[in-house]
Amino acid sequence: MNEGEGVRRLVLGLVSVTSVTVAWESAARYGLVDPLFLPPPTEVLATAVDLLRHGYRGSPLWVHVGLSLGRALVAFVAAVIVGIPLGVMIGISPIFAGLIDPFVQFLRPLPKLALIPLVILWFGIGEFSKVFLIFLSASLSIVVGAAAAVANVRRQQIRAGKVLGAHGFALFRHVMLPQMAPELFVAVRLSLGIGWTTLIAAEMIAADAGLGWMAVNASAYLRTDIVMLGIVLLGLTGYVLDLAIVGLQRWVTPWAGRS
Amino acid sequence: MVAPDINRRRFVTLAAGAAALVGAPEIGRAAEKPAVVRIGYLTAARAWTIGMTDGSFDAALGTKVEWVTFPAGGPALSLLAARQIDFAIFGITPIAAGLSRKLPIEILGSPEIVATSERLIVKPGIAGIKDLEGKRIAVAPSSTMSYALEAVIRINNLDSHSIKRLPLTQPDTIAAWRRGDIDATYINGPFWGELLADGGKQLLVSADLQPAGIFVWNSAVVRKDFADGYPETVVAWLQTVQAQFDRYKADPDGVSRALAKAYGAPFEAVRDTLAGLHYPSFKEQLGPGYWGNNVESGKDAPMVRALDDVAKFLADTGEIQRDGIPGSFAQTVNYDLLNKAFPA
Amino acid sequence: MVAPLIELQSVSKCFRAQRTRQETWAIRDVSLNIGEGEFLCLLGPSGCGKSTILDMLAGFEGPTEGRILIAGEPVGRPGPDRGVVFQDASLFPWLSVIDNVTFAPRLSGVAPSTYRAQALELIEKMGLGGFENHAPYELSGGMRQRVAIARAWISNPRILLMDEPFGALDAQTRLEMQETLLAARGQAVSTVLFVTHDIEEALFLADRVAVMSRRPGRITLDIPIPFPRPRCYEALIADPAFSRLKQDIVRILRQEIVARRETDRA
Repeated sequence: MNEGEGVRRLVLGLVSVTSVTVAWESAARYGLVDPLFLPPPTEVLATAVDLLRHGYRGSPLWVHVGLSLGRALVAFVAAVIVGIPLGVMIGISPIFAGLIDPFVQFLRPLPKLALIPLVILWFGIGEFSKVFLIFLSASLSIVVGAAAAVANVRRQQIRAGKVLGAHGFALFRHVMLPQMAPELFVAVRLSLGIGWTTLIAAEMIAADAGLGWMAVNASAYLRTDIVMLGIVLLGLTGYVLDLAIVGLQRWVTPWAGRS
Repeated sequence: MVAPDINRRRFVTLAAGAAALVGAPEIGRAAEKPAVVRIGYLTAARAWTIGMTDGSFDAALGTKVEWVTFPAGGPALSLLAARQIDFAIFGITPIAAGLSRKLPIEILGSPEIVATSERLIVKPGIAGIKDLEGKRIAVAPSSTMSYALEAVIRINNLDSHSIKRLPLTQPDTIAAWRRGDIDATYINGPFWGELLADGGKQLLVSADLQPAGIFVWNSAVVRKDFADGYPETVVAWLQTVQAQFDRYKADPDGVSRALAKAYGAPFEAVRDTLAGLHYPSFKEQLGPGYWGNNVESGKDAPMVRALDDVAKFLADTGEIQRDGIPGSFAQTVNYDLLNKAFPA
Repeated sequence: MVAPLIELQSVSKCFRAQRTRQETWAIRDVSLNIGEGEFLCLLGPSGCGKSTILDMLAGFEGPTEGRILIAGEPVGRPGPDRGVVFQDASLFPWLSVIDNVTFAPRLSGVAPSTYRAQALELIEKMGLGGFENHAPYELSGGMRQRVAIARAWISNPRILLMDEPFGALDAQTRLEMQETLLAARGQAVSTVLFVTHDIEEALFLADRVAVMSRRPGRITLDIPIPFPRPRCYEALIADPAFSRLKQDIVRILRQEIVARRETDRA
C-alpha cells in the first residue's frame, strides 16, 4: 500500500465513521429510534465523561479498560508461548498431530461460556480463571494457525535450505521458522480477535471490574448508555491491539506478501 | 411517461401497508382482544405457572398464549424493552432499575413476597453477622439477593469495605463454595439446600429483614401500551394469576408435585422453594399494608417506599442514575386495572 | 581412462500418487556419465524427467532402480558441495542479498572474515554491486537469479546443478545471465549439469548436450558441442555449424513426438 492510498483510506474511514455517527445521533434526536434501544452518541459521550469523573461501580473507567487489557495481554503472551510450539509440533510430526489434534478440534469450537463452571471448580474465581479462559480460546486458535503455517512452508525453500547445508534443527530455525513467521503473525492476529471476544465470558467469573463485566452488568439494569460505551471501548481497544500486531508484523516480517 | 407515476403509487401503497403492519396491533383496537398474549416467567418453578402447565391462561384469556422464559430479571427488562413479552413476574431490583430508565411498564402489585426462599448461608466457622466483616460473600449479580445482602450490611453497621462481594451465578457459587473460595453467600432456593447439606449454616432469611422495613418481592408488570390497548385482557390476566395462587394455597403439595414434573425438578426442592414465599392476595395488596388503593394513598404505602429504597440503593452503588428515579413509584402502579380486577 | 565424476547406471525413477496409488515412471533406464569440469546440458520437453535426474543428484530423491555415483560414492544428503540453482530463485525473503549469499558459510560456523570478502567479490562479479543490503523483494527477477547463483557458488561446489534457472526470464535478461554464467565459470571451473528446454541456450552454454525423450525419459541423443570458448553469442548464431546442430536436435525431438503419437494411436 503506497502513501496516497493510505491517506485515501484514512479519509474514507473518517467520512464513513462521521456519517454513521451523525445518522445515529439524528435517528435518536428525531425520535426514529427509542434512546433506550440506541442511546445517541452525545448521551454515550456524557456517560463516558461521567464515568471518567466518578468511575463505574467503584472503579475509575481507566481501571476497567486497563484490567481487561491486562487480562487479555497476559493471556495472549501465554497463548503465543504455548500455542506456537504446540502447533509447530503438530505441523511437523504426524504422530503428535494424531495424538493432540482431536482435543484441539474438540475444544476450539466449544463456547467458552460452557467451561465457566469447570474452570471455577479447577482454578477458583480469581484472576487466573479469567486469564485461563482467554488463554484457552486464543491458544487453540494459534495452535491451528501454526500447524497450517508449517504445512504451507514451500518445499522448494526447504530444498534450498538443505542444499545450503541446513538440516534438522538448523533447517527449522533458519529456514522454516522465518518462512512461517508472516503466517504465524496472521494466526496471532486472528487469535487476538477470538481471545478479545472471550473477554466477556471471562469477566463473568466473579469480576467486579473490566470492560466486558461493565457491559454485561449495565445491561442487567437496562443501562444501554453504559452498554454502548462498553461496546465502543471494547471495539476501540480491540482495534488498537490489532493495529499494534499489524505494526509489529510489518516491523518483524517486512517481506511478507511481497515476494 | 407513466412509469414514475406507477412507481410512486406503488411506493405509497407499500408504505401504507408497512405502516399498517407495524401499527395495526396497537392502534385503535382498544376494545378487542390481542391475537396473542406473551407471558414472561423465570426459569425456576413458581406457583402461578401451574396455569401454564394446564392451559388455564389460554382458556381464561380466550386468545393464544405464548410463554417466554428468562433466567433473571436483567434479561426480562430487555424482553420488555424489545416488546417481546407483554406480562412478566420478576424481582424488584431490576424493576426499579427499568422504571428509572423510563422503561414503559406498569406495576401490578406484589403477588410473591420473599420470606425464606432467599437465605444467607455461611461456612461453619462464622458464628454471627458481625463475623461477616473481612469475608468473601458470593451473590448473584443484579438480583434481589444482592439488594438484601447490602441491606444486611447496612442495618447491622458492618464495615462495608472489608467485605468482598463476588458476583457469581448460583451454580458458579456452589462450585466456588466447594473449592473454599467463598465464606458465605446470599442465595435462593433450591440452591441453599445443597449448601446446607454440605455443612453450610443458615444465618438469616429475607423475612428477618422485614421489621427493619426491608421488603424483597416479585412484582407483576405489564407493558404500558399493552395495558392501554387491552385493559380487559389485563384484568382477566390478573384474575387468572390470582386463581393460580389460590390453587396453590388450597393444595401446596399437589401443585408442587405437578410443577416438579413440568420443570423436571425434584419435588422436595420445588415444594421448599415455593413455601419460602408469601402470597398476599391482590385484594390485600390494595390495602394500606402494601400498595394503598390509588396513587394518592399509595404515596406513603410500605411497598412504594420500599421500591424507592431499592432505587436509591441502586443509585448509591452507581447502577442507575439518581435523576432517573421517578418522583413517586405510586405513579408507576396501575391502580385502575387492579381495582377493576379486584373490586373492594 | 579417469572415472567420470558423475555416473548414472541404468537409473529408473517411479513415483506413486499418494491417493490413487498409481505408479508413474518419470525416467527409465537412464545411463549417463559426466566428467570432471564438464558443462552438460540436459535438453528435453517439459515433463520428461530432466528435473528428476537433477533432484536425485542433489540428494532430494533416491533412484527406484539403478545406481547414482558421485566420485565413485553413492549420493549423500543434500549439501553445499553440490550447489543447486532452482528455476525460481528460491531466495530467503527475510535475508538481505549478502545474507542470502553467505547463508551456507554462516551455517557452517566459520568466521565471517573468511568469506565476507569473497562474497562481496562474487556479488560484484554477478553485477549486483551496491545491492548487498537490499531485500530480495526489491530486486528484479534476473537480479534474484544472480543472487541465487552467487549463493550456490560461494561454497565452491564441485558440482553445480541448475534447473532451468533462466526459464522465467525475458530473452534479453536471459542472454545477459548466460553470459554472466559463462564468464564467472571461466575463472572457477566446476562441473555443471544444466537442465533446459531451450535448444539455443543448450548450444550456447554446453560442452555436451544430452537430449531426453518424453516420459518415461530416456537419453535419445548425446552429442559434444565443438564450439571453442570463450563463445560469443552473435558469432555463434551466424555459424552454419550451429544451425546444423540445432536442426539435428529439432529433428530428433520432432521424430520423438511423431513416434509418440503413433504409439498412442496403436
